[in-house]
Amino acid sequence: MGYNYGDAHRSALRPGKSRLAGTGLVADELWLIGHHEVTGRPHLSLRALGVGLAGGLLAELMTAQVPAVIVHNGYVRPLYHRNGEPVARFARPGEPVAGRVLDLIMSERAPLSARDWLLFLGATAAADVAGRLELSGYVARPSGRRLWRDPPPVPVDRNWSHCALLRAHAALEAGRELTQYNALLAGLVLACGLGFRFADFPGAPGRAAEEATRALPRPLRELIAQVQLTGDQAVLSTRK
Amino acid sequence: MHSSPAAPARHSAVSQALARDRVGVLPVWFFLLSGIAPLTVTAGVVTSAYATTGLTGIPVAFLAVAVVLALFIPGYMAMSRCIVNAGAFSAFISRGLGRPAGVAAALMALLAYSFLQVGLYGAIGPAAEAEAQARLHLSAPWWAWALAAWAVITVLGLARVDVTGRVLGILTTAEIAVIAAEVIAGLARPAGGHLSWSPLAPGSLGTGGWGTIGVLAVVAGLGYVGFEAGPVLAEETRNPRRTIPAATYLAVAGIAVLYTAASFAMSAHAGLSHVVADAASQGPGLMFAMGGPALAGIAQFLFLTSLLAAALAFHNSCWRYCFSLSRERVLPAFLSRTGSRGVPTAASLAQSLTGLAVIAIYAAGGWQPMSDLFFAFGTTGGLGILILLALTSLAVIRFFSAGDGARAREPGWARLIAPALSAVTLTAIVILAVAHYATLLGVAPGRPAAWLLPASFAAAAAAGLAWAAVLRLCRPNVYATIGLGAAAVTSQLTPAPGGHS
Repeated sequence: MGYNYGDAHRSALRPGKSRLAGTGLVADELWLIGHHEVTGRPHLSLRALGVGLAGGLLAELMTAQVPAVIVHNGYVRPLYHRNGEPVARFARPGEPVAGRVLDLIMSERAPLSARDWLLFLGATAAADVAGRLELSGYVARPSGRRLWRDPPPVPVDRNWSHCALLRAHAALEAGRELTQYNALLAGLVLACGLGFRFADFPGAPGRAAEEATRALPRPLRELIAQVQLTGDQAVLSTRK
Repeated sequence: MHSSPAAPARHSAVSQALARDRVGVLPVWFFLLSGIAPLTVTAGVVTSAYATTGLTGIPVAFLAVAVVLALFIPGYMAMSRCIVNAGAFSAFISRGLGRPAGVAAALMALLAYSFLQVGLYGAIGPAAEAEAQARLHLSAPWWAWALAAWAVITVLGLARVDVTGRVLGILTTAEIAVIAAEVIAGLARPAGGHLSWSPLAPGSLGTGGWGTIGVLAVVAGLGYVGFEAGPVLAEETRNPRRTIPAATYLAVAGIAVLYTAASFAMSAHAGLSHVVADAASQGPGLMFAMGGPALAGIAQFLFLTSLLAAALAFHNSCWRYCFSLSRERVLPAFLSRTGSRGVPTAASLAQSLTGLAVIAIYAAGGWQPMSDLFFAFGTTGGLGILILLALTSLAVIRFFSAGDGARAREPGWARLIAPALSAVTLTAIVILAVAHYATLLGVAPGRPAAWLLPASFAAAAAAGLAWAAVLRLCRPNVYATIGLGAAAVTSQLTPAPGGHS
């Protein structure tokens, strides 16, 4: 895989560009899958969805053209060149949200657990990714203010949201080529509890989720596992 | 490229931000009390126990069970530091006694919590009926009120309304205050004008014959159910190693003092020779009558809210257990599917349907809700919890005996001596209770309920063992992760084909 998400983001902003192809950013796709395609209401609790979106943001950093971080043994660790220089110094994301996440990771003196990052980033991930999608034109805020808060963003076109779901489901279709992007997206969809969205597709999936994600590099599989672990704990938590 | 080594994170902005969201001892303590529901136990369980069993050693039984739990807690806490799993009992038993035992324990736990939750409708109905009659002059049968409460619990359960935090803090504080006031009033006016301390003497445990110690222990143990939930919050506390044990010991000590005092005050106020008959005729009123009419009115209202809060707390415990087991794929996957509220809808509805069926059966059968549903189901649930505590103690011993490294660093008291003592004591209690189950239920020996109810746990265990065998044969990857909980997903990571690491 390895995409330049700065280019992907700028490409998405180009006027007239078809948005059926998505932004190419994992967290964006997860946001569209995780919210109702018409009302914009989240399909999961904010805590669980936030964990999934945080996982998407970390996945973007791990799958960039020049990956700057890795998930290893339960920790999110910056990557370094052989000369000791952090990769992030020379490969900053062009997209602001990913850039902020990378800055936060690099500002920590020692690696923190993936769970801590998922919880911390998850607190604001939904809003951050929604803002990014708003800039890309995928979501919009309805006109008219509510008394106490801004109206939540809603997808502009339900087909764009559905295409995100199609890309995730493609990883589970036996007759389709399995790409790393689709496998990663499907893994994160299932890990954060959005697997029920696949129930709308007719017939049983031809490829098991474990099979789809097995070919991913171990750090990505570990990230998916940590998202599921943290998401499950969020469900079991007595706090919302 | 290479990654940096891990080191303890200090002064981390992220850690500090997360720490602000974490809780200390007091919120954990209140969380533990949420499932304990003090007025439910004192006004509901204790009065029913006096009336149903005819035994007067209930006050000292609470103290005795507190001692047993004090032996149980060290090993339980030590193991919870090694294993993070919301389905604590079954996970601990899996890791200590093997996966088949873990599956058996999981089904027994689900059954026990379900008994506890469903049984509460047998008290909610009559309590609501009395309140509605007294305050609103509305008349409806107990089961109608129970169904109304069932509907409320179903909706709140699906909406993921945990009565925690400030609301619970206020309710719990009010309950404790009312109980304290009733205790003071009751002790200030003992029967015959003088206070007899005999109900607190250890010899009182044997007033109905020493074989009935098990019966008294089950009744008292029911009052402590919920104390074991501390490890569920381990990940959300600032210092789990200190916070969870502190809150747990605090909860057990507080419960012991409160329930001992309340049951003793009822016995002292009514008189040792009259407390059983008065409990049979007055029910929860035995407690409310110790204070004046105003206090009684407040107590009756809080009794109803306590029952509802307990029913909701146990309802949520049931779906959390279902969710954990479903995530491990011991139970079907659809039980872990969550909606926008973060509640596994199917699991929540399954528990609700169980409650509906039981209310309907009892209403159709015309059985007594307080004795035949609330007390019978509640004490049976309590028996299940005691069985699980005994098995967990054995699991603790086995787990630490097989381990090294971090496990070996736990003190010998926590990993061997205390759990051994609690395992022996709890096993003896369970055996005695089962042998005298008719006394517990207040029925003649040989009646079906006297063996059907305890036998239900044996049936659940057998089903669990059989299902574990099926999983081992047909789904070995699922069998391999039993007891690992959410961490099962990280335990199964293997290198990808092609040499990726």
